Amino acid sequence: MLSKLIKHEFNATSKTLGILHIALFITTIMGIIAINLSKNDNYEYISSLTLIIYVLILIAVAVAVLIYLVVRFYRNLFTDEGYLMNTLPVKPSYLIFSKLIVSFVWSIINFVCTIFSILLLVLSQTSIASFFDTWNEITKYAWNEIGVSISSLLFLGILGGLVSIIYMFLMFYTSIAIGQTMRTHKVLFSMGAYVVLYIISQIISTMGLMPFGFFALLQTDNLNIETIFTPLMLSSYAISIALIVLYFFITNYIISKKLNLE
Amino acid sequence: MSNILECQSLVKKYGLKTALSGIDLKIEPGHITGLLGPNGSGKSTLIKLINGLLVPDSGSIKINGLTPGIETKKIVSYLPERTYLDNASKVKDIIVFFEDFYDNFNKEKAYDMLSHLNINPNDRLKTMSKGTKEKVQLILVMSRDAELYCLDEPIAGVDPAARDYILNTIISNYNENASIIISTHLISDIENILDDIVFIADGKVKLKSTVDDIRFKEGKSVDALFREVFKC
Repeated sequence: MLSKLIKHEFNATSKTLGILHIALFITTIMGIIAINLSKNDNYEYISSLTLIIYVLILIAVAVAVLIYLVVRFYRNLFTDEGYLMNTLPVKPSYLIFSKLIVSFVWSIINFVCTIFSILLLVLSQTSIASFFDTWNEITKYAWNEIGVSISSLLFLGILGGLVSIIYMFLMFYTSIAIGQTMRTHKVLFSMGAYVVLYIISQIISTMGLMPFGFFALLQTDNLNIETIFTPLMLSSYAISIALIVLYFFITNYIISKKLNLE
Repeated sequence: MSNILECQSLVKKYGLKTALSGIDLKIEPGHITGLLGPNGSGKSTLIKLINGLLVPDSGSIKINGLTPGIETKKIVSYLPERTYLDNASKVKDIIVFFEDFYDNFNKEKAYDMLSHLNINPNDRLKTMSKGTKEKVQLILVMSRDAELYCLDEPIAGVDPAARDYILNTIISNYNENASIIISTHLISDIENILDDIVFIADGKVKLKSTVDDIRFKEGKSVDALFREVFKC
């Protein structure tokens, strides 16, 4: 049943989100053309203007994807469509999983498309060889100056990114689930719930990471990035994962027992 | 044979407001029951409890002997008073959706009823009138071979001609062991198809009777009795 839910969730979201990503691709092509045109004439300001617009569009698409997915969670489960979704013979947890998995995949698609777009733009201006030269220089810098290898930095970054995506969506889901239990102003209460959850989670993660602060203070003489940085990051991920589990159970409880459809 | 629906001292509150205050009700299989009562009497709350959209505060509700959950959702076909379909989708996509999730969904029956009412399966919901959407929804709900149909205001939004077709569809499309619960204000329209009636007021069952009893013992139509019992 979970696979069927995921299938229909993809079907329902692919049209709007597909169009958004096609728009992203068109933006990239137009950006490349605009920059190339500006090189020939005395219109250099065009290239920086294009770059600003380009970056704004990248951000706008990412935000639009996020908003669409979060609004869909609310609309599909807690408004009129909720009468259908919540009377399907499936576990409430499957409803959450299906939304989460599809949102996660779309976030990855958006990320990959964004990176691909930037790479296209960069490669249109430089040769592949000089691109790799720059890449090697960054790697060397990271190793010499910060003391981490770029691969472990990448690993930590990607792991952190994946955890953050799940964390972000579940925090939105929980806020929405809490907000919909109110009789009126459900959306407003959802936003309020988000602020409260945000503050609570910040307090929890600050307290959880406090020991590292003391540890760093005691060892100021030989503060090493490898001994502090990696464990610090991994601990913060562990706290996020614990909060993810907590948020999941809260959302699941509300959908199972405290549904309040209008 | 166990009752299709059994409620014992069922209580549901919304905050301080009591929607249902101690409902005791048994509905046997094979009956068409009219759930009748004024606005805000608790009809929709009871139907939501049957479908697991709400959880009772106290008392119990059993469908075929089971607490509402995945197993009861398989055998209960529910028509809410809302249009619950995604406006952007086509009728045929929604049919695929129902087929995927309900083992007892009969696709041929659905297409047959659609063509009878001249509804094109390739049309998107958003191009349809409110009445047509309600028809689509009723067709989907009645195309399931369910044991209990819960119809919340099924005919409120459609014209009288379609009303007759729909009522006909309802009685001709369910097997005789299945049960139907219809909640409505439009009593005179559905009076003829009902076996039993349950009057609900202020979250309590005020009267449960067979339609024949009302006609022969009281010498009244259900509509007249309703007007008498709920006189403002």
